[in-house]
Amino acid sequence: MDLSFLTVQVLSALRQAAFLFLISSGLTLIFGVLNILNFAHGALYMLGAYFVYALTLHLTGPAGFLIAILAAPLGVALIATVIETGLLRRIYMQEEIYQLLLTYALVLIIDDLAKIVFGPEFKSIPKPEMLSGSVTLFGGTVPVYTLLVVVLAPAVALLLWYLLYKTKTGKVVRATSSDREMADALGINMSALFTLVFAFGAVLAGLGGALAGPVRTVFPGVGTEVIIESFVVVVIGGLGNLWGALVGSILIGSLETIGIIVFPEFEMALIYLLMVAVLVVRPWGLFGRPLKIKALSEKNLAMEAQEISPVHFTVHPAVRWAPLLLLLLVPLFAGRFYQYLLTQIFVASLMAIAFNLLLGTTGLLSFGQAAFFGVGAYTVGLLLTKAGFGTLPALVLSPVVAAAVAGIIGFFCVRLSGVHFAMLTLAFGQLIFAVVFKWYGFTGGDNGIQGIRVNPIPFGGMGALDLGSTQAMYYFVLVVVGLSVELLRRIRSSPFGATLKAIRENSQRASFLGVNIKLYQWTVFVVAGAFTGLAGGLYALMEKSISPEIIHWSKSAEPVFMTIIGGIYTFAGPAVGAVVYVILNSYLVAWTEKWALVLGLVLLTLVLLLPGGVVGYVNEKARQTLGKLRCIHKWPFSKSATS
Amino acid sequence: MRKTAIAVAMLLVLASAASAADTIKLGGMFPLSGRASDLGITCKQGAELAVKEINAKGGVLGKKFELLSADDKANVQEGVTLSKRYIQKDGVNFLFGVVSSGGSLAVAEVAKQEKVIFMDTVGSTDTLTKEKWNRYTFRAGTCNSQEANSLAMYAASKYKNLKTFYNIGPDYEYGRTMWDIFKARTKEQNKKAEFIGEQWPKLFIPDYTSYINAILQAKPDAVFCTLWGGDLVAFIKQAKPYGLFDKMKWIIATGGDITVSKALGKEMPTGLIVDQRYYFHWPATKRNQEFVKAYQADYKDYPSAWAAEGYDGVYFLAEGIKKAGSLDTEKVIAALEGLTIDAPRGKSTLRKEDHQLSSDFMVGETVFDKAYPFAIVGKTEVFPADKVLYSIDEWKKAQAGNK
Repeated sequence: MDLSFLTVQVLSALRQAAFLFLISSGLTLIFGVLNILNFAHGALYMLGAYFVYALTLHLTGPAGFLIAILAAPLGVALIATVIETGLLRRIYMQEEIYQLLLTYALVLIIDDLAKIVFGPEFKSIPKPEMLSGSVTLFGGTVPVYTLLVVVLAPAVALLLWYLLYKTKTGKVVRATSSDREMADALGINMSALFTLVFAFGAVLAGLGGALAGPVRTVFPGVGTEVIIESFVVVVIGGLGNLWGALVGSILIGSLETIGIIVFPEFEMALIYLLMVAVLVVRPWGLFGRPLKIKALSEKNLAMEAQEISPVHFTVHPAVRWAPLLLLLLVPLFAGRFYQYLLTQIFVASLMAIAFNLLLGTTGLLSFGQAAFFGVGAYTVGLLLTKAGFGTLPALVLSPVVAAAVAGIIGFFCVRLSGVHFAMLTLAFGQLIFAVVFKWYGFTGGDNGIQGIRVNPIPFGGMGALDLGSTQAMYYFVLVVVGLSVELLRRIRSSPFGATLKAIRENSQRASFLGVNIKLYQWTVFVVAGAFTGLAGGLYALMEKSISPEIIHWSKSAEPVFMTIIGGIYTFAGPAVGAVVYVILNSYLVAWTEKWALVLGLVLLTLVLLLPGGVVGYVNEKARQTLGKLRCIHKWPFSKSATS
Repeated sequence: MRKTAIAVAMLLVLASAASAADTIKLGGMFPLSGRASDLGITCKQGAELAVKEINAKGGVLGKKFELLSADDKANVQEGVTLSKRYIQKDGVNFLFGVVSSGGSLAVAEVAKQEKVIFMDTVGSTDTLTKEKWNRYTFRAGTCNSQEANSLAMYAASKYKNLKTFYNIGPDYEYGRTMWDIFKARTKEQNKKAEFIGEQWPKLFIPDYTSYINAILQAKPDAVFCTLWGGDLVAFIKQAKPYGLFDKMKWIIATGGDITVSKALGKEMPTGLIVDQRYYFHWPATKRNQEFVKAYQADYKDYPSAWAAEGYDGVYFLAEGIKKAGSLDTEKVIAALEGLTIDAPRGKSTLRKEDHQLSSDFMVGETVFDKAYPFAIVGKTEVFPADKVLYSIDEWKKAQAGNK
């Protein structure tokens, strides 16, 4: 390895790091102050690049280029201000997950709007002549633009340092980041500060996009790739820590550059491996501190009051069984397509309800459920196509294998909490995705497995159950999902479930009572993994084609949507959310090319107007009505009544 | 007054009922969002143009074509769901489109289960018509072996002094199989060829500098590159300051893609060995010129290769139905097998055995022509399908493992 090679390589690593730093410094700043993991940060990066593109169409020459690069971030800041004051501000009182979902809805909306405004095709931003050439440095060729970026990014870092550490506003920002209540109590104008920080973070993202645009390409959705990488950076560095973002960027930038040369085969998985390694050794990142556990008083009481006690609200069994009976009759009058759609809904419901055992019941946000879904699906797919297993044994093994994988992953994950837990599950999920995607000989790689043959299930000489028709599959999935959901319901209302809720509400107090918190969390993680795996197994039987996409993190986002649409603190919520989500998705896609825009708007509306989810809203209304009717004089277990 | 209103209403009802029964429905699936959307959107536009032309002439068997189209998000699972929806709810006569190889394989599986004909357009893996062949699936587009073999033969015949070859391609099945086919054919043509290294960047990564550096370090005579679309644009922009295109010969599959040339404009290096699966400027036949003119009239743009493949797919179906004289699946299959049409790209046949398109394939090098503000493909050579497409013997061998 000679000097020229080294020079080029180091500089390209630094350029990569520079772009990453610009994006993740804004991300980490916003998290530090607003406590929001801003999913839309990638979309803001994209807007920065698009604005430069639009401006350079009119402004030519080096001066025009410079103006465009400087003006674009300001445009992004303007949009960010609108987002913060118009939308985000309304839901600061909710749990973080609502803010995360709101920013995700914004990604859908902004990406689709960008497609409408700028067109679907990728755009290339031309650089002025003086920045297109290259110079020779230590015998290596170095593009002028790389030098510009590598010099500019540290300048921005320096400026940030100055602003944060040497100015009054900066001190206020840091104070708020370290203790929000105290800052509030001291009379700092929180809402103005939040707007300022969000807009400033957007400027950084916009600048990143503006600078990266001319050497990359820009297209609708370009931010999504960038945002996940930036999440990795800020989590490795420590959430909310600027120096963490800096070090994280340099680490990831160099790892990607070295990884390509040294371990080309593992390149895809490297950054997630690093993230897993860092979080396992230092759960809060290299420079991070443990997150403050949110005080109970900060939480939205009205919502949780619905479910503070394990026994407070049970539906009459007749009401529970009636829908099941109805579903048994559906194939008599509904066509094949509706049976198929319902089968999809059953599978999605099982995944969402299992997921909510983690989120709603235990308070753990897993962002890697697709991994278990995929493991289940691939277990069935591989056993049926390669090992000649019968349908039933393969299906039975799918939750077993998924549980085993969840056992290993859960062992590491339950040491963490909050966003860190979510990020570690995301990293593990992406690792499994990378393995399945790459392992052509075993999993079929990115093409997946097609034509999974579902053999009839024999009944020991008493004939066999043929699942070939849509209707047979409908009944089979309905029965398996129905039994699983009943099991999950029992788990949730058992003493075990009650303990999980205690952990969610106050894990410190629960541990004083002698509960082994980590063991409980690990157990529930495995249980949820097993049922998710079963859902995956059913999915493979039903669709007969599987591909690595079902393991990708975007699949992990689906149960999160469903649960929030339906209502976190209710058992039926995720299932209702699954109904809404699957139908919405299916009909929107067939109805309009702009499905993402509509879906985004629907999610946005739901988050803003029905924060308790559909079922939460219905429960709340029912309770109010019952209260008015004097059926219940005083809600016996609600928190508001006791505290 | 009221009577007329009722009469009009009844007529409308009748008309809509009649049209519902009397159309030939194509269930089109294209990526209309995300990173492959420009492929999907132009493919859809090409198909729409063909439908418009056919309907203007009165349709086929007295029935008009109707193209339903939906966004499959370039997602395999979405393709499966959509195709089931089309068959079970909308009662389509044919499945149509699909851009990604994985998606094509999965939709072909649905076609086989449901016994509905699937006309694949852009999804180009050989596997679809070879190892995983089924009798309901046809492909109106070119496939990987045709492309990689043509490139290998062009390079071997015009640049005999190339000895060391290097690869950079996206890390998924397309990139891997293209390199395998290219290597095999190059080795056949040039005994001294050596393959000294390969790089597999992830699909859709934004930055290629370290790969560029690795290639600079390896100093190969030629690089085979299968990056496409936006990835290729980003790669070329980032590699140009390093002088990478002057230091070695470049062989870039779909490097002549018009969306790439347009995005790069004058930044496109010349002398790259490239192909495009269809050219708006070749062949200079009346058929092709008419197609380009009609496409430009509707969409104010040159047709991309993907547009032409969507367009051809509809024409194949129309001709097949005409020949079969019926919409019966078995009869249409029989009619499509071995069917030859006069397509914009020239004489095009769906091979009887494997249902793969067989047509001439042109390879050339990037040049600038005063007529266009972007690079086009010049110094061309045409390869007939029997020289570059996998042979029927190979197909027969592959059928042994296909159940």
